[in-house]
Amino acid sequence: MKKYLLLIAVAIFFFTFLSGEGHCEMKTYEATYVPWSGWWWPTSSGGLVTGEGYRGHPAPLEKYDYVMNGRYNGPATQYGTRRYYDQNAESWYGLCHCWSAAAILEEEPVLAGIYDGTLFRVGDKKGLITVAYDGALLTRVYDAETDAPEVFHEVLDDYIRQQKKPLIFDLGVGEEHWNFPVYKYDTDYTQEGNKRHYTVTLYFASDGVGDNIDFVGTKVSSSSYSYWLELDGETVTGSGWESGSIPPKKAYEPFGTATSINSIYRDTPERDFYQEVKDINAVVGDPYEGNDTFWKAVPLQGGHYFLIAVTNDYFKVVGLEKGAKLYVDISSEQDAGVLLNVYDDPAGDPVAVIEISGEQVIEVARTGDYYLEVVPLNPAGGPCYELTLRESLAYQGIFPVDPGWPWATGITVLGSEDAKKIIVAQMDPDGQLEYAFTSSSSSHLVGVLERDFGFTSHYNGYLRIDSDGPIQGVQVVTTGGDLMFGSNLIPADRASSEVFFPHFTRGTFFGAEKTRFGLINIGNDTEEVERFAYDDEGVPAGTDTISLGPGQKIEEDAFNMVILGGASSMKASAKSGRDCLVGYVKFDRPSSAPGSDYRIPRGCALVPLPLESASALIVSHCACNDYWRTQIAVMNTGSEVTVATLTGYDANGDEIHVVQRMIGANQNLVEDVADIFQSWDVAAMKVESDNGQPLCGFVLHGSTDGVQFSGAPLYGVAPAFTDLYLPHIACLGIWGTGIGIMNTGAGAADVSFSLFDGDGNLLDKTIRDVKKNQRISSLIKNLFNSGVPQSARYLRIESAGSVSGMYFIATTDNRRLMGGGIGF
Amino acid sequence: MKNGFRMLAWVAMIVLLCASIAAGSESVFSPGWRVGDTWLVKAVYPSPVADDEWSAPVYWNYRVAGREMEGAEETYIVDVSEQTGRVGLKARLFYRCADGSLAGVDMEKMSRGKIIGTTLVYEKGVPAVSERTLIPCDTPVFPLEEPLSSEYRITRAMGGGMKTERIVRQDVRKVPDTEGSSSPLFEVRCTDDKGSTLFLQRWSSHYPWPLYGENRNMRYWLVTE
Repeated sequence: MKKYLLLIAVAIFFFTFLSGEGHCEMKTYEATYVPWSGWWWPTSSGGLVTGEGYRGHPAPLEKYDYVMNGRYNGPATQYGTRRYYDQNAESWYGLCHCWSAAAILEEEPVLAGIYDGTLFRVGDKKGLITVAYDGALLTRVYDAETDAPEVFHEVLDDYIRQQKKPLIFDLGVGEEHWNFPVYKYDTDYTQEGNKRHYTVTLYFASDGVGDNIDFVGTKVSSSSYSYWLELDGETVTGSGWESGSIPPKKAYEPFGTATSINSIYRDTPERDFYQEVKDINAVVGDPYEGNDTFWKAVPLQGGHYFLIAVTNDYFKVVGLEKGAKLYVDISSEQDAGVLLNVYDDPAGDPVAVIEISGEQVIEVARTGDYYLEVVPLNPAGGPCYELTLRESLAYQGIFPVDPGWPWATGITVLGSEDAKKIIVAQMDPDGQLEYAFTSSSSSHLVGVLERDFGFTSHYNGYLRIDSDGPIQGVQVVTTGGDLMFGSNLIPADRASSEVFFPHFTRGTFFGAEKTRFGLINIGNDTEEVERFAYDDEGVPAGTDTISLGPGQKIEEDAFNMVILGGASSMKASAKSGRDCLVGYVKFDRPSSAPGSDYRIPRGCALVPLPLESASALIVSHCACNDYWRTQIAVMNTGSEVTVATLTGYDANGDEIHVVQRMIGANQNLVEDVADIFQSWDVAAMKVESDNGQPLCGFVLHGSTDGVQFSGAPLYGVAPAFTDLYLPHIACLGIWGTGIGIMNTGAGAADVSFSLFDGDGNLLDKTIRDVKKNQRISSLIKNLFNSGVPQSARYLRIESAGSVSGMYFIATTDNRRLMGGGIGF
Repeated sequence: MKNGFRMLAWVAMIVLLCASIAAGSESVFSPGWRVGDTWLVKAVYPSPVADDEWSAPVYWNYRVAGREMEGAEETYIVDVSEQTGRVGLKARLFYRCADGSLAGVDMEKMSRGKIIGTTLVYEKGVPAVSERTLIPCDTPVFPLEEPLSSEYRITRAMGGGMKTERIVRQDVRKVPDTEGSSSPLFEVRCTDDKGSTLFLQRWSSHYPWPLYGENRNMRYWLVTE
């Protein structure tokens, strides 16, 4: 039987051979490398500029703009919005052709990288290089409209079999284009007379990574085609597609790119989007790569860091003092988590193991360096994680504003002799620490956030100051033009469960004076905050409740707060009763100066909150003339109506006017000093409740044209043996600093003024004999016979009696002004 | 080219017919080059997905770098490079001195940070179409005589021991120069056996390169100012 079978097989073979019928063994040909999979960025969702379908904002082009052009909505994003985003675009329209060219000509981005502080994930990098290939230079080597199947056959043979190069095939059907990088094909055929019936399967990198645009590697797809070739000897004399094959539309060889987005740099032709993207994509990992052992641990200051754990990462926090607290928050993507071990001794066991996100507190039990070990749970691809470090020292304070560009913020922090370390932390509005700067070299710290501390411009956050000793401070915010405002450092121990806003204006038209309220929860718990609005009689006019997370800040325009309709004052109260609230009230005053644009505020004034509550408040400096206005806002925060006695003093301390106003509970008194006393002669004043009701308030000084404008809180009568500091004096160049000091004690007293340099060395001292209720108003440079040395940094005011004061910092061109109380 | 042309696709050519259809033509043109000649060509390339959308212009510098013997033939060597250096492609073109036909192209392109070399070879006496390069190098059969129509049979290897043949027709006519001198231009059009244009060029006797050309992969212009 076996013999017969063999004979039959041999017969079939010879019959087939002789008759020209047969089947060719399938062969597979492959390029020398495999293109990578990437996303095709559909135009209808515009993910390159919207982040839709990816990770939201900032989208890849926004990140590019941020690091290359300084802002998220830069020229590349604007270009991308026009070119790569159209909600009404055909559903198939996108950048598959650009990705295909990039996937062939460019190495695959396989690891995230942090470029200039911004995290670029694999999807960002692939998206940007795809944009760089919008303008891909391709040669069409096959076109189904004009080329027969033998050209398709020849192109595969030439490029993939012989040259071993991938090429792009458009596998779309109908009007749709779907381009893919093809790198491999199988081919076989059956012979039928002088016809060969070919079956070819193309293998290509897929763009099906929409569920994970950060995908690394190649997802392979395939597509098969059938065609026949008719031969006359070796020459193809006919051909056609068969078995229902719809042929690929076109095939291209990619050569490079004339990047279309480069048109945004028409005026700066030396810039090249493609090269800049290559620079971004070349960055792998975080800036600290190499920190893969305890010995190579990188010192970190407090701050918020985007990091990548290619391997274990090691950091250290240097010089922690026993008793301090280290707040640590680490978070990562769910599918690529990290574990954080905290050590006070690398040779020992971790003092804390942190696996979950959320701020954790490490009590520092040993003075010295602490080590952080970050362990990637799934190291493949290098998981990205965010690490926030915040060192909390014994004393804290808040500078309540950090408005960001175009504003520049300068701060001065004056520490006591105990203050060896000062930490300036830039907080975002959600209370997340963004950057931190630590000074251990001086108890007098002065600088501009971006220039001196390396901070970046953030919108509407605030600053938190930590120190190991008592601190005071001043912040100055200016545009460099007419606008300037500022605040004293608000000590954390002044935070209150109740914050009063004695006065606001709800500008209802362009050019009207506007008020903004700021409120910050500096506690560690989420707070429900009730806000009560009162009308001008002190009658409740509305209430609402807001929630503030730990560290969270809100700022609102009074115009937008519904409860303030018909109201003239407000109270914010933490339901928990915890003393956790600080804040501010800021006025934007329009200018009435000739030629000024009424829509642009010309004067800004800020008053930090909470205000001091006392039955008698001192206004230590009043300026009333044809140039200056002084306006007071006082609120009775008690539960009973009170008769307030308003006493005006001249510059010598003589009582020249007394008037009385009745102020109901929660009612406010807002009035110009000149109107209260019907006089311009008042140099200082006192507001006193006749029945001991608690009062709080502030004073606004401003020029009548609205250009110069400042605010300061009112204080109660200070105790005897006053020791006040003005942490910052500006007397160089165009700057001048003035003070108004009032002796609020029972009799005359010597008041000494001492100038110090930044190291605490006494530079000059002067003593003035000040009568009871007398006010000294002077530029600081005029207080001292020899002027103010360039090295002078702060002023100390001492008296055996009781003094109260305020300061003003201004430019000599009478355009910029800010003020504040001396003390908090 | 030093190692000889690697046969990529073009393997054979047979002149099928070379017949002057009209007699009495007075104009004959062949470009004349000298070593050291340079010119600049602007080219644009079509979008693969959008009709009538073209790439940003790419400028190619051409320079006649020398004359060399390639085998038994003397050739002009023309180096081509992209003006900005941002498109990672350059080439050396070899033209036969005897008849001005394109003999071959050595290309170098950047791919994944590496230089990839490719050589294209063209046989003598047939039109050459710049099909697999960005660099404009369409070359008709010179001299251009007007009016003249010629047909050429071109054979191309396609793997598996198979080959294809196609007939290419070259037509030359004079057209007015609408933008320049009063002298007419030589317009040469090469078409395949289906009548599809493979390339079209317009030559002026004053310039070493066509003032305008197009094929299915590009349009290009000689930059004359």
